[in-house]
Amino acid sequence: MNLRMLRALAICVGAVAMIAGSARAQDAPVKIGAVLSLSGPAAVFGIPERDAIQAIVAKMSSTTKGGRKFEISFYDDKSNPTEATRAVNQAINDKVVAIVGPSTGSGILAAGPIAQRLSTPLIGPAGTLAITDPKNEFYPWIFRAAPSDASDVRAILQDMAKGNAKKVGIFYQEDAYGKTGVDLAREVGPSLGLNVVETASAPYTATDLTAQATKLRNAGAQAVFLQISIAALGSSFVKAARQVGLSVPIYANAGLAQRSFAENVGNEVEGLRIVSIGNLPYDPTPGEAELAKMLEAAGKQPQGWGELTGSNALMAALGAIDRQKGKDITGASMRETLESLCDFDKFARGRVCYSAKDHDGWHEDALVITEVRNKQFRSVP
Amino acid sequence: MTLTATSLSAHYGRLQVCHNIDLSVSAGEYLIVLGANGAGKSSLLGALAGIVASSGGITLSGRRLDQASARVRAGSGLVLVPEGRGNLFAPLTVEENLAIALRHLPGAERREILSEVLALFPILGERGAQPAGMLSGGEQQMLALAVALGRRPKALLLDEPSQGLAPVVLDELIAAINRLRSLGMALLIAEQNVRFAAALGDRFVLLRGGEIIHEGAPAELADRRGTAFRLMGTH
Amino acid sequence: MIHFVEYVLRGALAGAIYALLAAPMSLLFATARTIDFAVGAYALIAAAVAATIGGIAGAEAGLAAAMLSAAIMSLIFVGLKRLGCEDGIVFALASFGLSAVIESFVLWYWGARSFIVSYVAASWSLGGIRLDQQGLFNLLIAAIVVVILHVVVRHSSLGRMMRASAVNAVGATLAAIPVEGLQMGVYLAGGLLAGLAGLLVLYSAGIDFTAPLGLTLSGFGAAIVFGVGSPLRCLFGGIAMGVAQALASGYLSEALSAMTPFLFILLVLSMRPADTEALAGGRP
Repeated sequence: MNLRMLRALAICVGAVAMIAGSARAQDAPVKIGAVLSLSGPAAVFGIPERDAIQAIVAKMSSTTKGGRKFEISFYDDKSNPTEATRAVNQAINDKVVAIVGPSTGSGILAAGPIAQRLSTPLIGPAGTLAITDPKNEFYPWIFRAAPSDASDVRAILQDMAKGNAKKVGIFYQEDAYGKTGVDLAREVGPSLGLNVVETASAPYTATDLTAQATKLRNAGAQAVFLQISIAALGSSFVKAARQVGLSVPIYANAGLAQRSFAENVGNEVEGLRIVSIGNLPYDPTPGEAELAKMLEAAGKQPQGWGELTGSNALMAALGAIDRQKGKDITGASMRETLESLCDFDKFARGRVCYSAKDHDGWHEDALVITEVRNKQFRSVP
Repeated sequence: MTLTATSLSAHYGRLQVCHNIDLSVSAGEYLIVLGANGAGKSSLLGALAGIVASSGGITLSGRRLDQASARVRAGSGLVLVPEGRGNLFAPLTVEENLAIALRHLPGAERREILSEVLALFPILGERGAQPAGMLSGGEQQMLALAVALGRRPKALLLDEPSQGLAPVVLDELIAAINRLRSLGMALLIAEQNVRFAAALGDRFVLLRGGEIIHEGAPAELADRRGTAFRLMGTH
Repeated sequence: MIHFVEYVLRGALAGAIYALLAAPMSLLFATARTIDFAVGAYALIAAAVAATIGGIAGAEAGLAAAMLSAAIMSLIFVGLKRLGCEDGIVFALASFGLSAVIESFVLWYWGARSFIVSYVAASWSLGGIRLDQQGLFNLLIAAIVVVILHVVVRHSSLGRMMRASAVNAVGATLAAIPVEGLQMGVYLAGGLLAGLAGLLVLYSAGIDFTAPLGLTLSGFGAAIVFGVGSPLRCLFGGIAMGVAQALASGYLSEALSAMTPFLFILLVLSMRPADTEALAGGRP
């Protein structure tokens, strides 16, 4: 065999491989990446997100409703933006066409430029406003899988406005989440006839919040809004408020809608109102109940909205895959399809439509106002 | 013999600083260990007291102590006053320093020793409530001696008691140390101040390079051209 | 004016916890010239265990867990000493490491949940200001503990030996003081006190795995602000820290209030530089 023959043979083998490969492309499973906070502080959300995705994949036997095989691989962003960037890069190297995650707003913002450069959309289960800011250069590549922080604040303040309170005091934790909530409440409040008269804050580790509660009481607050995601701070503030005689209705943003908060606090938080993304553990809609059943079948106890936002992101990706029946799917085609995706199959409540102008998709109708009753979040009709 | 060392060597890790030293001090006897800086005086005293690693034999009134810890040696009556009054606790008051030294004794004996010590060093009675670190150098040395005496030593090791003291204070200190003769203990004083040593010792040994190179009587130290000065290579 | 008084009172009550965390730091400094930065972590583990088991048995188990953690620190201390380390800063850094390990352990074993014991204590009214019984109880406990420690450190033979060990370990050995044993004992006592603080935090406010650093820093501030050598000053330091925090939360903008307690420490420290020398024990 001479050199020329060898080359010819190689070309033939290559051609056969290519034909076989393209024939298989229609059958080969579509790859989706899930970059989630499986460790670190954001694991409170990342782990339920993963659990929901695994439960759904198991139930669907890795096949979309439209009959397309898919495959999902998990990556840990360790609650850390740098790791999120690395994990997104790794996932795209592994040939995924869309990524569920990263779990945190800062992770999504850090990974955005890579998603843009490598043409793979991110479907982020985070409320952080900035991730879908049209001013971002990578805006076309990011889709939200949960109501934004602005929706949350609007929903809970609307509920507050139904009462008699006009003067609002805000207590928030000293971090980006806390600060964003205060700014949004100041912006949204006046249009609902609510006037923010005083704000008070504390670091995560504060052990005594009576001074903060006193400050809000002295300002004559008729209702209090809590922008907190640390359960200990929430219960500590409510205790402090009762102690200093601040006996006004208290409303909390979705950060406190955690099962561990409801179950570990006592009578003093009875009646506290919290906005939540769905109500998976206590008052589920039929769709949510279906997801809860899948989770239980997988041996997991429904925790709260982490599972719902995780499922939202996955279902959006699967919806986009089914809209591309018979086509070759790439990151770019996924992005294009997601941008006009509307009314796809999902478990959470609310109507979702993405468009070129609206990468948020989810809005107030995905939320529910709950009240703490007997160590549970009960939906308020 | 109250205190004997046989073939005693001192080590810092692998470095041997004193070599096969034999010496003995009897009750009531004052032995001076003379030597220049770096001759190994402090290491020898440290080895005897157990704060520097050593090999060789050490006995105190017939009891072998070479395997005992520094705490046990101190408890047995082999008491060291380290260089720079290192047995004092500067922020603690004079009274507190004495209380620590006397704490193991029953009340009656404690009061007895305390009054004995205050009789020897009356200045300490006046300074009782002052932190030790605020005393003058001479007073600190008195307190260091008083604290050591509080342990009722059979053998007392003084490391450079003259260090940093003015000549007039030295004379007071010589007088004070001479007053201790009535207590009948063995005293080993490491010094490089020859005048001070000559005024105190019954006997001296000369240390150089970690070895004893000469022994003699204090009278010899009066002669500035004598063997001792020549061997020390100073003055 | 009544508002001002109320902030001061509430701050003073909150400061009791800091005093309890500061006391072990002061004690250890008085004995070994180092700081145990794991006290916040001992408080966390005590609270976590107590909340999980519940009741009196839980409180006891919590204190035991805190002391066990402190025992680990004392072994690290002795181990480092045997390796020839004598610098207090090394032990302090090691305690930071242990704190991180305990924090990670709590996160791994219990997850990111908060530890909350729910009950509302009765409150008393004082000139129109409602004060919580739990807060008054915390202050009482802190005051009792600190006074006992003060008497032990300043006026007992044990206290003299502790202070002697800190300033001159060789001298203490020559005086037949069991230096290492004393220092290990002080680490253990520190674990007990920090554990007690952790229980009080649990019953007053609740705690989660992020708490140790903040607790440690507040305790450290309380320990040093009026001079680290004395437990009695810890009580005043803790109260001062608590009052500074409460006034800052009440009257300053949020951005400023977070840093105020530490600005306060800097201010106090910069006002009395001479004292730090006396504290080191030397002749000025």
